[in-house]
Amino acid sequence: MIKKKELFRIFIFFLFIILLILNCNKEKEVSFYYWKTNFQLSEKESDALKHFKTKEIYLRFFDVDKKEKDNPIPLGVIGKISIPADTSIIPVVYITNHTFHHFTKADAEALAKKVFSKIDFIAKENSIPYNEIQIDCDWSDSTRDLYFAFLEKLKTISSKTISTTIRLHQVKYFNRTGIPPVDKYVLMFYNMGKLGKNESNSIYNSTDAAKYIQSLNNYPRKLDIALPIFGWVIHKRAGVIQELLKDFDLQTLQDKGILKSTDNPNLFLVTKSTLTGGKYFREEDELQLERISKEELLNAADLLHQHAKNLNSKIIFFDLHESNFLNYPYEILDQVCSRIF
Amino acid sequence: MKFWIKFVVVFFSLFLDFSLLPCGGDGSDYFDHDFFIKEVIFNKTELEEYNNYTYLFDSIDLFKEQNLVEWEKFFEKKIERDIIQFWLYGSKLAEIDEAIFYLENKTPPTIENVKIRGKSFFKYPKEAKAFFYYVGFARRNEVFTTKKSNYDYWGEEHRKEIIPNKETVNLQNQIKGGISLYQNEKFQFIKERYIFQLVRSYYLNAEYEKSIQFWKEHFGEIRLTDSMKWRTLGYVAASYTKQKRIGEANYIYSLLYTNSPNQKDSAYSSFQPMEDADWVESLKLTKSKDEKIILWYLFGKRFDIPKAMNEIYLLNPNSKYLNRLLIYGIKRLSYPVFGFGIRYWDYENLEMKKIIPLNDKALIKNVNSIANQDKVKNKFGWKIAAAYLNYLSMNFKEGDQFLESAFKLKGNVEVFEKQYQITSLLGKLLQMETIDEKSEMTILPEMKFLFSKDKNISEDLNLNYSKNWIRGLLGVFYARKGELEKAEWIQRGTIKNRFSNLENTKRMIDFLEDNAHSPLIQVMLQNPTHSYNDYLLLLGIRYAQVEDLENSLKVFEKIKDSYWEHKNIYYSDIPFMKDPFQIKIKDSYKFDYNNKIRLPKYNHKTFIQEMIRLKKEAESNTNKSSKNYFKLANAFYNMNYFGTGGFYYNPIHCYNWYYGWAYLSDPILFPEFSSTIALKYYLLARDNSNSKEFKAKMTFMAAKCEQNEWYLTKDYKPSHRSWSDEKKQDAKDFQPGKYFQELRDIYSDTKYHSEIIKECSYYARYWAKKSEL
Repeated sequence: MIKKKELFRIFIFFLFIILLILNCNKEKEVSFYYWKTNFQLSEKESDALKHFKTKEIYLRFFDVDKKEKDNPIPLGVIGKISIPADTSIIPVVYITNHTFHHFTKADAEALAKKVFSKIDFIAKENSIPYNEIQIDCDWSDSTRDLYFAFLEKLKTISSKTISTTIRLHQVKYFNRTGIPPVDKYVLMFYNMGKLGKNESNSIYNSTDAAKYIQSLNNYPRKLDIALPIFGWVIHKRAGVIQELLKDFDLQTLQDKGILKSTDNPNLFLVTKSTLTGGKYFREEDELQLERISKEELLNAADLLHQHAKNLNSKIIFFDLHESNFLNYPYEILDQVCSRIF
Repeated sequence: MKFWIKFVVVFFSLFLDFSLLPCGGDGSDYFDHDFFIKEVIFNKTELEEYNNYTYLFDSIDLFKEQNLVEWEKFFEKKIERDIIQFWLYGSKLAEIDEAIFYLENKTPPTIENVKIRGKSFFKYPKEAKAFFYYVGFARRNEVFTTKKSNYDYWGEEHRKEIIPNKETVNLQNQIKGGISLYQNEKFQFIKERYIFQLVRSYYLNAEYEKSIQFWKEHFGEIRLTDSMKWRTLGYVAASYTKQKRIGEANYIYSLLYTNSPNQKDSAYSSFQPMEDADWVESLKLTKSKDEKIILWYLFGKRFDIPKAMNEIYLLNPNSKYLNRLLIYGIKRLSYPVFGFGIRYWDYENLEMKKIIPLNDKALIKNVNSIANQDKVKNKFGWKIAAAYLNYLSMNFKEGDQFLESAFKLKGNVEVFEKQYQITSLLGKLLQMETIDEKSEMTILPEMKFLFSKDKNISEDLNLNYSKNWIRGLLGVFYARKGELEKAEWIQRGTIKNRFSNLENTKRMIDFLEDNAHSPLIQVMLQNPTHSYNDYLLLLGIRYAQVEDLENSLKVFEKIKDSYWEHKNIYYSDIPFMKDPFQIKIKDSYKFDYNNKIRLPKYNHKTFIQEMIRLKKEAESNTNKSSKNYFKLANAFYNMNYFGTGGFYYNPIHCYNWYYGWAYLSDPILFPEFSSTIALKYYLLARDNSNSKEFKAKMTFMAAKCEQNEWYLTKDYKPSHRSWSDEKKQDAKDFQPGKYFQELRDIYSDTKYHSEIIKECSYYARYWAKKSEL
């Protein structure tokens, strides 16, 4: 006969196993950011949505910025939107931190009204129902209070779920940077370094990722996770960044025979001035390719897996662009998802 | 159009995303945050041309003024401008149609606007009919020709009122009708406008070839109104772009840029060479050297300044566009160098670079070459520009050579002298790693010039940025050497929290009262950011804050009357609207601007005098002790941020006062946030009184002091201070202490206690909680 005590131990053991299984089988949800000014999905992009059974797209509606002390204005407002079937839209607004400089609380609240009214107008004009608004802003210590006032006001007047992006430094130093007064949070697991430093990758580097990820345990909120599948070319002239070229294919210049390799495999020199696709590259300009490698992306997934208990089961890839699926085939992204959860 | 209607003509946003483009105005892209004075290169007209740009973001209708002038001329000024404006920009379709019915059939108008504002037109039936038909046609086109701008750009609904709905107008029919109207039109002036409307309509209907064709067939007919020609060409260029005939499009944009001032900026925004081949094609289409120069100028601004400089120089070394490109290059490339100023708060960071050198070798090479060839008229301008750019690139030898050449050419031209002096100073400063007696003497001549009291120099806005930058740099140099008073005098704020305490403030006064200063410091002593009296005022304040009232008074007495009467008024008159010896249950954090009762009885001096008197009296006369200690306590309480404050407002630490402790990383360092002395005196007042009512009041005031101290000393993180989740439970921020407990336990039977419950919500909650228990 099994004693009562042993029975209890067995019960606890099975309970543990069941909980473990339940935890491992979290219903994963894959979403994408869409960051272009025209919402028109290519066949490949639509196919990706189907493959990942994506229900929600985080669609950038507009940016907000201001010049010096001028009033903030919306920039790069999205054009016509037609939503794919069975997909809902979460409007995203990117606000520069600078917007909140020289602001008062009243300004921040007024901005919230304007932002909401603009979102609502675009949504209504395009017949888009939405229940959530996401605000993307890399706020700083000096703008924190005003940004938070903005978020609070946005929440009050919109009565929508409000989510925000959180950068790694804001997770690590949350005691100082504060926790935005919103409903949901998305950890941007990228943009880790300083832009344009030849020796490092500003999108993702595993050393910094490993360093920062430790602080995830202490963050008092659960987070959705955003991962990078984009790349860009940094165009520099005389040491000064001219432009970030998204979706730019270096092959165009290689085909013209005007790119010289350097010791750094991701850094190229322009050997002859040329105009191509409306971009001008001057002799001696530097072009630096930045992209997270597949291995690094999987490594990021492994790191996140160690902290999965602090994460919600939603993964948002940045961004939905057909060229990104050439560099990161579905199977890689599937692996990323299954490795995290 | 009503003033708040924010539209731009479709032309401006045909195929470009403005957010990606720089502004078109030559001078609008970059601020003058550098050491180069544009007047060295430009004469007055050229400067105006350079600075002038159309702020597209705010443009309502760039052609409104021009249209009104042209229509006024058409009606030979017999019709008032306001009336024309109403019909062109404010009238509804129904009103226009009714005016036409009246003119055609004499149907009496029923709409008030038509009756009133149509009257003056009806005297000229032929012109009026042509006018109203045209306006009706144009108004129907508006639904296609205007679009809501992305820039105001928060509002969306404004325009609906007068623009017809898309559903009610068919562009194809508009074109048909427009052709017929054009063919039947007898007035040449209006006929030309139909050509414009039709070229635009074809474009908007995506019939690009027809748009171009119509233009080609009819451009010869536009003879009367030049503006119509250029506006129409704008759509022709846009049609070429749509057809990917980029070379032709850009050539037209360059013509618009130089010939149509209203279209200058939109043309620049639209100018967009795509491939080497289309650029070559644009150049081939030019019919003169001048046209080529414009194309190169635009190319230079958009893509490659040195290359364009070279090309323009070869075409005409004295082209004004070469000069413009030089200034544009200087301003644009200086921006990353100076744009962020000196980070003087990092003075302890020895690794900090002073500036990021300009590193555009191609630009330096071409500017040097042009300056050396002496083919340009403004030889001084180019030599000094070369010196300036070489210095910024840390090519000091070349910089010195050009500076020497410039010296020989500067003559007696005032602006040349200024530029020479600041360039010379810049060259020297950029070579300095630190400051010592020798380097002070090296820069002394230029510093004397730049910081001279001569009005031409001291009030020259052009020099302000460079002066501030120099202050920042010298401040850092002195701070790194440990000469902190010099650093702070030259650039206030170089050292964080420098004057939060008495000792450092005394050191500054000692420094200022010392007569043995180097010649450079003497120059700077004549150029204060804050005055000796400002620092005296602060010292007096700091003495009072540590209860050293005698010394405080001595210091205030040193301040000259003129300072109190004039300079200090801005900072200190508001607080004296309140009696510093009075107190209220509720703290008044902000000044009460509505209270206009001025109490001239107290200024800093008389206030301290009264405090000294009260203190002496309290110590010697026991009958008055309690009352006087209470007044003193109020005075100390009101001195601090939580009290009515403000009479201790001082230019040097006014930011602390204005923003309060929440904005300081170390508020505890600043005595203006401390309530400890006030607390001491409230307790003294209480101990010296026999009245329970009075004791209750003193206990409440002690509780307030205790609470204020708690705000500072508790680990009161900024996230708790305002709008994070915790803020919603504001009451949690409050922590009842020893004196609330005493109020509750000892003084609950007093009248004052009832008053507190009414007035102070914190205590009311605390009391209610007790009652629940």
